[in-house]
Amino acid sequence: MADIDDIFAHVPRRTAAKWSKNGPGDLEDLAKATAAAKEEAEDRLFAAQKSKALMDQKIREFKISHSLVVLFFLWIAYTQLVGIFLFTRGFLLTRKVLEEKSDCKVSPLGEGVYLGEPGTGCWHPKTFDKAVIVIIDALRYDFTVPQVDANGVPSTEHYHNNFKTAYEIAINNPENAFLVPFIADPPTTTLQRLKGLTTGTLPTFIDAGSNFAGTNIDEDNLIDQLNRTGKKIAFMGDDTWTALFPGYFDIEHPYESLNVWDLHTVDEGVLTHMFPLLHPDNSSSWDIMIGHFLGVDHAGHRYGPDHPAMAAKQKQMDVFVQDLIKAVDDNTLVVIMGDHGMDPKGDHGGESQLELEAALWMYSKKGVFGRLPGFETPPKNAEGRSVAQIDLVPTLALLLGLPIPYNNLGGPIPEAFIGPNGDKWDNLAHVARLTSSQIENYRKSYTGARDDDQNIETKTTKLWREAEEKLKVDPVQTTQEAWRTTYESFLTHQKETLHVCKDLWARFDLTSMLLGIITLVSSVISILIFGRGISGDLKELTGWLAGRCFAGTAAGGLAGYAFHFSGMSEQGELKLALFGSAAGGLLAFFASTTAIYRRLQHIFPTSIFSFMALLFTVLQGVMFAANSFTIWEDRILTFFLTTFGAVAFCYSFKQEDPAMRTLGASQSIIFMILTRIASFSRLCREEQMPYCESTYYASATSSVSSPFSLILLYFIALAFPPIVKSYYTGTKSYEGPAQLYIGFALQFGLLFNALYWTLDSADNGEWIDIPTASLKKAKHTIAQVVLALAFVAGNVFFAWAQPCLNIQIEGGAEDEKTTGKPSSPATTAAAATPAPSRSMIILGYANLHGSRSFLLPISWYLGLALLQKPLGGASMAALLWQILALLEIIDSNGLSDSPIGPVILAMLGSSYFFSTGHQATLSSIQWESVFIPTDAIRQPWSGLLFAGNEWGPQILATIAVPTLALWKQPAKEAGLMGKVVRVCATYVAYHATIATCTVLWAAHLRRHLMLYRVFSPRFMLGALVLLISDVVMVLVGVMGVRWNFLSVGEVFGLVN
Amino acid sequence: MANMVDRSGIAETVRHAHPIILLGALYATFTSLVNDPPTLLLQLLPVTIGIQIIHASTCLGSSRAAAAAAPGNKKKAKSTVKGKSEDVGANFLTAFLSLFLALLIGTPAIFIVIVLLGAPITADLSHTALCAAHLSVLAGLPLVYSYHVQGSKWKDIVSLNLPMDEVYGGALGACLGAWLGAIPIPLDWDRDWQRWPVTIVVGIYAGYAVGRLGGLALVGKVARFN
Repeated sequence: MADIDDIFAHVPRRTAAKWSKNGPGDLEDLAKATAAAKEEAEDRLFAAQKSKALMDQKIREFKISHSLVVLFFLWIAYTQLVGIFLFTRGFLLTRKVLEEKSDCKVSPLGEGVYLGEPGTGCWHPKTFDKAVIVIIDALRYDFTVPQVDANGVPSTEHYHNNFKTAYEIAINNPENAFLVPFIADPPTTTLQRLKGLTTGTLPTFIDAGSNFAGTNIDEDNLIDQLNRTGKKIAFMGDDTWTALFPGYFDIEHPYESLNVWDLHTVDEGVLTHMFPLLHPDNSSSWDIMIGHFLGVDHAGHRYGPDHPAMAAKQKQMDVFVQDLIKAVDDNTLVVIMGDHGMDPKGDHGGESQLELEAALWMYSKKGVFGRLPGFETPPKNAEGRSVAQIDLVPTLALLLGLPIPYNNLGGPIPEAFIGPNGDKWDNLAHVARLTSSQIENYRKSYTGARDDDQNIETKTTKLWREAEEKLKVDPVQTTQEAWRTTYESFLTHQKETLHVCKDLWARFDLTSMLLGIITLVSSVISILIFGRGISGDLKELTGWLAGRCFAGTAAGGLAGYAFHFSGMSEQGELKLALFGSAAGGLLAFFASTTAIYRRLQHIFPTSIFSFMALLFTVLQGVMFAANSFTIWEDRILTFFLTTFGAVAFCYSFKQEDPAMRTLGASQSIIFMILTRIASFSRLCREEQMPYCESTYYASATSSVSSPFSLILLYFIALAFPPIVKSYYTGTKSYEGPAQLYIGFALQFGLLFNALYWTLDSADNGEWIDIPTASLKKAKHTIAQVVLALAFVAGNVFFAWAQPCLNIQIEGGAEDEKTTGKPSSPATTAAAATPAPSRSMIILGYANLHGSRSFLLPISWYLGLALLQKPLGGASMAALLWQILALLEIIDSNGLSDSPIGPVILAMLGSSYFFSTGHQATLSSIQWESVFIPTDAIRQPWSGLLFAGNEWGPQILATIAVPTLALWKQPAKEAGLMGKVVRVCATYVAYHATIATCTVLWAAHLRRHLMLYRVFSPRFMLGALVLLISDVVMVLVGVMGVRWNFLSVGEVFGLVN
Repeated sequence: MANMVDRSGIAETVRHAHPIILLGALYATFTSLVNDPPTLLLQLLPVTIGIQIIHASTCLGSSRAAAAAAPGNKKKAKSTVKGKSEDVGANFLTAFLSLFLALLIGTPAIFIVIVLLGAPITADLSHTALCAAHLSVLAGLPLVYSYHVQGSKWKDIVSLNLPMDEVYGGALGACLGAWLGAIPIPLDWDRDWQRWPVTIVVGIYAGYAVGRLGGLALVGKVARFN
């Protein structure tokens, strides 16, 4: 308050002093006095102006230095982005797409072998004129075969023994139908599977992310071949098809595919449009009909397999199969298949056995199908006999008289060519020869396109040549037994080629990976030096560094771009320019640090807490080298966090002040207990079985929340705001905006939150008899209100909010309490000066910065909690509570300068990632969260909602980072902004270290068996968390600090 | 503390034999520990208690005994030798009281901490409880024996403010060993000894033995925090 006194209160006193000195004398004196008074008035005005100018200048200076801090963090984020981009480009595998197409007139066997035409069959006489191809999304193989236990008792699971017709026909009329397990190539997402099922080639990993925006296929494929041979295609169902094949279908009825909460729209659409076309009157309007049902998949996503809705869906599909086979004619082939399976919870995307095992059923009224010896009945599971999904491509092509797509790697399915008696080995050998020859063509042009050495005869070519030799021995009088061995030689060739291709496309671009690793490692070192290795106030230095780093980045970028033209590197200009810019900026940073070498300090731990911060970070970084530690990351984080709580508890007893000791010890206990309680909310990953029990959903085979978690949400709505409030009342900070944020917004927002999930459960479980449409509308409105309250109102109001303060004036007789907070310094001074006998108490001064700064995490918590399932919402409340406990622990033990605060905060974020039902696996992604406030996908909002669900805990922790440096800190301490910068840098350093370690291990273990199951997903998670925390840190955290300082400065004057 | 420690012949023997006997007992029973942890831990507990009581009552000075001995020391050196035989009974009594306190207060407290750190809360409760009992007998009993229940001393013990000696070193070592013992559990090596809580118990015993040596080496030093 001294400043205010200086500026305003002194002026009248000085005038009064002058008056009394001169005294009212003669006229001259009076004139003098008047002149003096005038001068004084001018003086006063000048002083006021001066102080205002001073204030303005301070504000301007603050804004500039703050903007430079933002720029510096943006530079860090840019460097890390470049590092991750370069690594990803080299690490996530890519396959060259060849443009060549197979031609009906050009048989791969060479001229004159068989000259076909579309009418009779291109490379091989065709078997069917028409086909109905139906995909039942996520039709797992065990859904289609009877499931009985050892005693012959049928399985009682909801997902078994409903889909019976296919199996019964395959048993009773083997020449009409066969049923086999149909193995997908991972990743098991619908887009990837459709590519595989139409092109016959292998998907590459990078495509997995493009599920939300299907792009059309450039490679040769079945649909294209159908078009080129003049077949008419009718399509109905999942709109991924129309995204992949725009303009290819003569009749099309696409339906929105990603709304997994809708079980019926797509299926009803397919049924409505399919049967009229099957009527003989319409038979000329189509040759090939494709239907794609989504109900089974959506039932799995929404409820999990073990739910009555799944049984109902499967029964509906069974009835559909019965109707379909009644409706088709003799010349039509019927194919019913799943594109992938589902995991025990009903999700897919990964490569577990259950996700890979789909079912394939082929049927025709012509009895043309046979069996391989030994596999007369449908196998119990894929261990017996199975067919790869790409095998469907040559099979369909040859059955329908099409050329085999150019890049196909699959082989013909023997059941379709061996004949009803299982003896037409010659036919099978012929189709196998066609397929092998085409594969050999493809291999030649692929290796040619890659400029590899073509002269060396590869193993596959040798196998192919050997098989061809067998044919030449005696082409006419071969016995069936000889044909069989010929077929098997070709089969060996196909298998070997597939194996070689899988290897070939698992080839990494090591240079790019190395550039990425160099960038990331240097970035970690630079941020460590910046955050921990420089003594003194960081704020001023940051601007200076930011300028140099940006100059270095620009120069390096240009140099890298220029280097491309020197022709010394084969890397593209984009990669070189990016690497150049990152390297230039980093070099500028390291060069700059030599200029301030006097301020450099070593970064090795000097206290038990900084040692713990280092130990936890290093241990986590190292543990990602072992798949078992990566798998059990959730438990390990709980272990570390509780350890911190225990050490903090012990350390509290060092405090002399009993109040601080009690506060530190009690908050440490709360911290430990909350860590353990939150660890009960979890969703186990497959590899954790059988030592883990999922609690996130109602049961292990469901994705519905339990009623208990709903009750928990109501309990939180009642009990949680008072808990948050209690952290404010300690410093009497529950004033002004705090009352609005906690008492109003949080209170009502949490109630709405509980209400939303109640309506959602009511909708899922059909508890109440309200039309779904109106229930949906109510639900969406509530969600929109909460999100607007949290993200729009919460942020906008934060920019304008005043500090959480109140002025209490205690007089002799009466206690006068001015309500509201002082709007300007003048009113404060005016209130203070007239009655000097009264004492003025500023409520909330003890936590001036922290109380206001924490309002931002509170409002974000509200929105992020809504995006989680009910139990996840409860976990988020525990997270916010734990952050508050951490703030008190840090403050009461005087650790605001220690790296332990940001490191523990970051670990809290990572730990609650698991408590909100996530795992570092593709199948644990909760896509359905996109539909919480709306029914449609609208970018970029859907993406943001998804990110808010997937990384909600990390985002919340990131927003709370600046508060670590501000909580209960003296309001007018110099260098407070520098402290904020240090804390933020340490936080980023933690995430950067973790991400870099996951990158290093993924690169090192790139041939490891568990690469795609464990290391690769963890690398992607680490990289994304780093980038997200970078962005949120700059845009929300550091910007929030700007409003905070300005708002506090408006009342008390800025301190730089 | 150093002045409280008895340096007579028997005490020296016990002091050096003590960690070897403890580790030897664990080593001898390791196979059965792996096969059936709770049974073996229950059988081993009386042995450990016996070893700890003998060690405490022969080697360690209790602070009361030290307080009583301190004025006596000045008068005549002989009285300590004479007093020894009388003290043995008292020492045993103190040791049993310490055991009682360590088991009554230490075991539940350590049990809670182990569960908070992530031990299963519904299964294997006897495993965890016995593990906690072993830690409290190894680390807690000598501490209670030496420092009784003086509030200020225990505040120092908890906040790592106590000058190092073999008792304190052993206790810290046992706790640290228990912490480190958790590390191999998640590995997918499928070894029987990864069974809960075998690695923790081994960590406790090894940590206690190492910590006692470390305590002797760093005697009188106070942990520095900042």
